[in-house]
Amino acid sequence: MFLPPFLPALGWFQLLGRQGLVGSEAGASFLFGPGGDVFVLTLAFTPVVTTLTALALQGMDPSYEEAARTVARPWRVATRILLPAAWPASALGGIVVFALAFSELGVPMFLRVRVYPVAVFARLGGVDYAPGEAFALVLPLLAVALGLLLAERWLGKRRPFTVRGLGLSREPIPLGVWRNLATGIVWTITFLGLLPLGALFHRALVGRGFLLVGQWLGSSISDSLVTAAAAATFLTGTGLVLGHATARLRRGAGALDGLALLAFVTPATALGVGLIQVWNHAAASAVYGSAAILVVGYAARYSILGLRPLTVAVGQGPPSLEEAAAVAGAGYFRRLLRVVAPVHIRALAATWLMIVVFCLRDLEMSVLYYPAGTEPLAVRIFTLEANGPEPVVAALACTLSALTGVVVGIGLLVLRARQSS
Amino acid sequence: MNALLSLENVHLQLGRREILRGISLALAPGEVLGILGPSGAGKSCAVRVALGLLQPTTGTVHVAGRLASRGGDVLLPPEERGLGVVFQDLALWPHLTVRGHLEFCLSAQARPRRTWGDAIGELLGQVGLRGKEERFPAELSGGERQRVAIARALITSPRAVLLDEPLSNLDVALKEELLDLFGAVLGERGAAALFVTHDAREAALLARRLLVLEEGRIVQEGTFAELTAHPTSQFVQRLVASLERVAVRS
Amino acid sequence: MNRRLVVIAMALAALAGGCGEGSREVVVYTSVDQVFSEPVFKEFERQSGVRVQAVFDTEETKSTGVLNRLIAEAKNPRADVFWSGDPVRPFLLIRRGLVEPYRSPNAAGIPAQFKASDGAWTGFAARARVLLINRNRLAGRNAPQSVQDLADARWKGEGALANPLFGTTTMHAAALFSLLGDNEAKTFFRALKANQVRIASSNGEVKRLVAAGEVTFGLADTDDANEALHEGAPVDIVYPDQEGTGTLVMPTAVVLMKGGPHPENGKKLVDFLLSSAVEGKMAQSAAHRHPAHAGGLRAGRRDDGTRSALSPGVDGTLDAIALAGACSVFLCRRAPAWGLGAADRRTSDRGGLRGAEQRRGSLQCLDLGALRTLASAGFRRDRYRITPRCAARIPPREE
Repeated sequence: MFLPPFLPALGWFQLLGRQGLVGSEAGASFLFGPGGDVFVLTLAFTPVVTTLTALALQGMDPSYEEAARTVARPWRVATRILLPAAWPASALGGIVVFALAFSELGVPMFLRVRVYPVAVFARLGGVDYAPGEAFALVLPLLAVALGLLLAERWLGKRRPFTVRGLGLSREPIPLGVWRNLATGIVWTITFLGLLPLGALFHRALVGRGFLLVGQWLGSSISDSLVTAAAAATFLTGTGLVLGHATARLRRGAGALDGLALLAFVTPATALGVGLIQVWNHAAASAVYGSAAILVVGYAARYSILGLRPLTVAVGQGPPSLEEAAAVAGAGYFRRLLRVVAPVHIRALAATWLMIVVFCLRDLEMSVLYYPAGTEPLAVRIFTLEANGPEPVVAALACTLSALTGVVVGIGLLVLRARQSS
Repeated sequence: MNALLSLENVHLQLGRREILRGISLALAPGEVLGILGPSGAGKSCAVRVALGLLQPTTGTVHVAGRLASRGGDVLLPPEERGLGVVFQDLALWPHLTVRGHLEFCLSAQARPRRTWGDAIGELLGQVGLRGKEERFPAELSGGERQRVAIARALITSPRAVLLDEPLSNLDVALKEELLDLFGAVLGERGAAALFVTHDAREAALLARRLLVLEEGRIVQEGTFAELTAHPTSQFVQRLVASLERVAVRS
Repeated sequence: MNRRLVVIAMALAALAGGCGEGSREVVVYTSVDQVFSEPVFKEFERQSGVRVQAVFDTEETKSTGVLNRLIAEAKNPRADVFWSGDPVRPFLLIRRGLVEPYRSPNAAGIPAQFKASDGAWTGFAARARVLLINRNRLAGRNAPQSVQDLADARWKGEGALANPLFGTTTMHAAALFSLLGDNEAKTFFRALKANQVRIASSNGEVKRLVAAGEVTFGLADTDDANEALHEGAPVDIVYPDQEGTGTLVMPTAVVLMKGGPHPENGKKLVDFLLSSAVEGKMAQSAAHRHPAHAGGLRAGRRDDGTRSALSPGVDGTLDAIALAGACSVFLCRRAPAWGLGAADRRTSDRGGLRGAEQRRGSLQCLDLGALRTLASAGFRRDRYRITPRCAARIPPREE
């Protein structure tokens, strides 16, 4: 979730590839096939579903569970009450994963698996540029994206969740004999997730790639961070305004939310090509020719990440807070800034953080139009991967992982500090 | 010992906070016992200890004569205690219909499926929810949700129902109506109940015997009249003072 | 809110400002691997003081990358220079009128067949297609000297060739089709199959097969071949067909884009790229490009014994560019036609390590016209019809 999936793919190649640490013909032929594609993407995207489900479970009133525990065994409580109640979140996770996997170009291209989007964009370029055909081929993708949108809508329809924390520490469900099994599965997945990164680190270390990182890094770290931070700030700000409007007014909000979601589930490459068409004009050179286009692109693709959580957060806060402020004579912006924003500061911070992370991992869209000379780190790794010295590429991948880790770590520390204060 | 449910010298410590400091109580068959006390007195935690959702730090809990919890241990898991519960926030499951709620509870018991329909129909008749079987919680009014919650607590024919402030945030008229309903349904089914509230009026209307819980201790016990006649606890003293002021002004 | 807006505005302004000032920069798009091209750009920055803003292509996005972007941006060109890793792509731009002819003074020493007479494109830093031979497996026999030897019964089961669906092998196949004509070329590729030539996934895989002695010889690029030497494998390099048709040489090519934002700096960069110094640098770096300058190529020939492989004899070189421009491609029979994107992906010297998984299929050839027909027909047909090559695709020959 936090890294472009082709980094783990590179790591798996270091492990399973023919000359990998545990390389073999069989391993290599598995990796370089549809199975390998599914395997890598599954592991890479597992955290999306688990995180969303975990968040939903955390936000759920513990008495749902307690009420069920008085009549049913833990297993039934988990399967019949907890998971179904968290189902919209899990399903949303599923849709997000589908959308991400659907946009994913890096992994299937690296593993040489012919997935449809790769095929479409092969038509779009190269020796035989045929945008008409390519856009005809994109139509089914858009149809799928629309289908996802509708599915999400349908899921969201029956979601009268009152989410409030009671503050009681939750007793873990006693799993009994299943405990060891469950623990084992969780650790296996975690281990499998970290394994490729370990392999990359090993490759970088053995090949002394870290010594050369500085030479190839260029300004990509600051390019990545600045653009991601700018996009996150912009989206969090607009997300607050629009999410507030959505939560309070509900007029036209559905359409807005739908548009943002559609942008998110639309294959990123389609979005990227669209951006070139829209922004590459003489009048807009200041944007298109500069890093600003990256910010614009991120803002277009990830607006749902700002809109959705803040809508939910604002929607769960009682309107009376603002009403009290309004009665006291505070205007719209004062209410938003002095009442709504401070009340939801944690949600704002978490949203900002999530958008930064998603922007840092964006590859499939920005690779299409990044401005000359401003290469985000993820793109740089991707372009250097071709013929670049393996240890350096591995070291750069480790750098991106570390960068994301640092951003997430600082973010979590800030969030925790906010919580305890 | 013929109590359905009894707590003996139960202490509960959560983190560094001492929440229950040695409470003992016993619920007799068919009895409605009121637990009265201000917010933060430890009432909800006492309910959770009785249900087996929290383990007492020390002390024991007996259910129908069986040792159910003992200092640091839950011996009888919640689902085997044969108790029902209505929480303050009702905790209706958002993804299940009214019928779904009741069926989920029944399905956890070894009861033949063909008897479910009758049991559900009868109970919903008693609580006045007939015709709303297929509604989701979000599609019900506040009073109807209370009825679903009480029906859910009763569908398994529990030995006793624990009512944890079920009527807070309702208007007076609806409160009275539901109190009457609770009384009637409990009477019809012969179920005992532990009724936890901070509202002395509610407590007096539903329960004959009342326990006053303050700062984790039971400080007074008796009927409403006995309590108010000899207010030994702060809570009851304030209650009496308030009753007197109302009487003076009217 | 206001404060936040100000911050955003400032951030955007800073971003725009940082990259907006134009006169001391040049924008270049390149499909030459970043590892090789970036050091060259850095050197240019150091010498000229002009900042290079580069967009790099990758192996993986070659099919959708900079060329596509150049065409998409045609209405408002952003790039000053396009440095193509192969000599074919520039023709697609030339045909669309996106190129500004520029005769660099530094191109004077480059042989006529490596450049357009009007300066529309200039080739340099070439790779050659060579036979990589395992000395041990050769066991004293005379080394093969021709690409045709792959189909010779003497070498049955001993040769290897990268999948013609990919990379430079595609271009080689195109060249052969142009040279031999459809029928003869088809016969040749069928003969390859009958001769049990191993179809590797990439040139890197060919290198691995030869170095490991799994086959006796195979067709590879000079950079792969040099890597084998560098790794100490028991291999020799033969520049094939010196007595006959000549060795296929594929230069990279540079063009000046029409209407780019910094035309003067663009010309400076073209001049720099075409300088002998850069060609020398490219030759020495891992890129192992052959200098196209007359001196570089001819002089190198006399050093053949050094096994440095920087010394092709090109007197008999095919008119490689024209041939490659013919754009015939091969497809595995079962490969969907939309694999063209993949076909276009030049295999890297390491590609073989991860690419051996390409399904092996029977060879079948068709040209791009047929490919497009198939693509629009939904790729359902199992057998591809072979159509005559489209004359328009063949660039005008140099005088």
